Amino acid sequence: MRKKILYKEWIKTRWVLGIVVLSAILLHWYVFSKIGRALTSVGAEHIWDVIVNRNVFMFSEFLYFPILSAIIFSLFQFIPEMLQKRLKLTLHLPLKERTIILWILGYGVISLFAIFLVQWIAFIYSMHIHFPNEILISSLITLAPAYLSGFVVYFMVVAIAVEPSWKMRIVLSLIGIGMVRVFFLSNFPESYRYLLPYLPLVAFIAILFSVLSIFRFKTGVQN
Amino acid sequence: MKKITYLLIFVSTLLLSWLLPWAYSLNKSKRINYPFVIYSSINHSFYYPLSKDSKRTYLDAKGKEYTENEFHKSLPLFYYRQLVKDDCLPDSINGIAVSPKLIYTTNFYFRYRPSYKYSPKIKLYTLFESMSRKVDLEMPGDMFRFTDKIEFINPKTNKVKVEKSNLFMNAFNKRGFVPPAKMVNGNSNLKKPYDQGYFIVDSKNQIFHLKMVNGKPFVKNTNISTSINPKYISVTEFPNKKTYAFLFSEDNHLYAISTNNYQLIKIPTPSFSPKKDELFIFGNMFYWNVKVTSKTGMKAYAIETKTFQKVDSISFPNPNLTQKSYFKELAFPFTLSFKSKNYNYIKPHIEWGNKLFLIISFLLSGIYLLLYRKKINRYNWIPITLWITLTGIYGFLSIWIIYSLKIKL
Repeated sequence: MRKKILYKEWIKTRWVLGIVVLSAILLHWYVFSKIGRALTSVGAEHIWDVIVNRNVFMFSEFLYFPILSAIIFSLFQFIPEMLQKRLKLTLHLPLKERTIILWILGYGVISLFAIFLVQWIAFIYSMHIHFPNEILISSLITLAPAYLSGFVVYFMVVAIAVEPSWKMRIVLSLIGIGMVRVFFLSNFPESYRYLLPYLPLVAFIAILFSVLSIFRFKTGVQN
Repeated sequence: MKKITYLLIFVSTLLLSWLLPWAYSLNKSKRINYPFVIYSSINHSFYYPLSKDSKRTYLDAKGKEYTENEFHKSLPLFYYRQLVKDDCLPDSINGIAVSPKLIYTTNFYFRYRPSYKYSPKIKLYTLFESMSRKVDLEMPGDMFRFTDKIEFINPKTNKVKVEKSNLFMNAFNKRGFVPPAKMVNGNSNLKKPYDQGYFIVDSKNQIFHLKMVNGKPFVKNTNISTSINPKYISVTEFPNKKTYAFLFSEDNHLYAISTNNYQLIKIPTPSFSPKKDELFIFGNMFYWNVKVTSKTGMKAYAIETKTFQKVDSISFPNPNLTQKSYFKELAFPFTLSFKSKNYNYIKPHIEWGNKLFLIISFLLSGIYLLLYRKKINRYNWIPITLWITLTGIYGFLSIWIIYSLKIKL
């Protein structure tokens, strides 16, 4: 049964998964060919100087990828369920509700996590060629909040999409915007260094909101 | 499920405590412009311009008004370029012959903001050639890191320059450096008149001076007392070449590291905390104007350049302390913010309002009990009333949204 749930999610999302992976590859190629051009035209020393002494973050194109991919992915996973009213049916499968939700949400999170992880490995590999560890670590600390926000967005979009009441959807949207805003308060490199360990807590709260919506949907709350 | 209801209230309360005060302060200008005071080397008094209702007046410390021209003439070491243009620059001041060149080389400006120290920094540094034969400084072709040992990295290859690194590390070892380096302070800006290198603090609080002279290491133990415990060092590189750097000690004192054998000179300053306050120094051949801007206001000292003794002071209180925004203090029991002008980090910070907010909170709790008496039950009225009392308008609005939207929880 669990395998079948996963297979159903895969059928629904394989196309969008492909698009997200392809855009990740294109984004990586674009950013690093831009950096490569800069390194040859103005010299590596100047680029290092700009990053280290003028606090310029040269990889800002990566900052909005997690949010966009999370929105697209969660919409493709849940909108067909909502439009064709299949989710209620799924929740009545001969499995514990909690297990079903865990597998559906788990599929989404693990898919996003896998894409982000591969993207980070490629980023670390490419950075390692041109930049010292200090710049690499600083860049990863700067990117980390944006990638964590991807998970918050995923759970909040799920919460809003599944939520049966329009009023509650508005409240959840406003709360979601507020929660995601916390991840994008500054472009200054490494500015989240101290807050970063606590940001997963925001993602955890977002999980609770998506679970709340699914339960409300199952019990058929209406306004 | 009820626990999730409380979570919804908790999260929306937190978000409101951040966003409501932010929205309120959007149209309120927080910036306070204190008058730019300068101590006159001629009249021995502070002078400052004051702008009010698009009219500019020029005053001294006693409040006497001057014309713009008189004002410039009273501060010849600051307005010397204007006085040269007006053909009014005196030949001598206090018996010392002056020229525009002399004034230019003896004047200096120094600014410190907490965000200079409390900002994320990639720990890579550029060491310029100090004895460059060129007019302008040039990039040296490497950057160095310094923790347990100094390592120069070639950006072209992203590899450590082993020979140069060993040469410099041996120079440190010979001078008694005890790794790791706790602090590396220098100026990596290429557009500076000359290079004074870096001041590096080792694990035993010894301060070392590092320069590159003709490609070779120049490392010197400054022998500055280890009890000073530096918090921040700012290399000065002023045209007068009288100081290497300013040093902020752990006990919030300001010192100048003199080019005369690294002699440490204590600079009298108004009460100053590098974590919260701004410091500005305009120095000339006769006086240093040392200004500290803090939450309580701006205070300036005039210090004699030769003796470093305080000769006069002036202060301007923060006008916001006398014209308090009672609406904000009473309406918002606390304010959550993530940013500060004092640091470039995103950190949650709570600012508490006036304790009298409790009056408003009790009032809001009463309104809640009155409005929703039919909806509340014996289980939830105590925690919800308590929450509104503690969080005031934020908690009340969160609960009001849930009830008024008739969201079934």
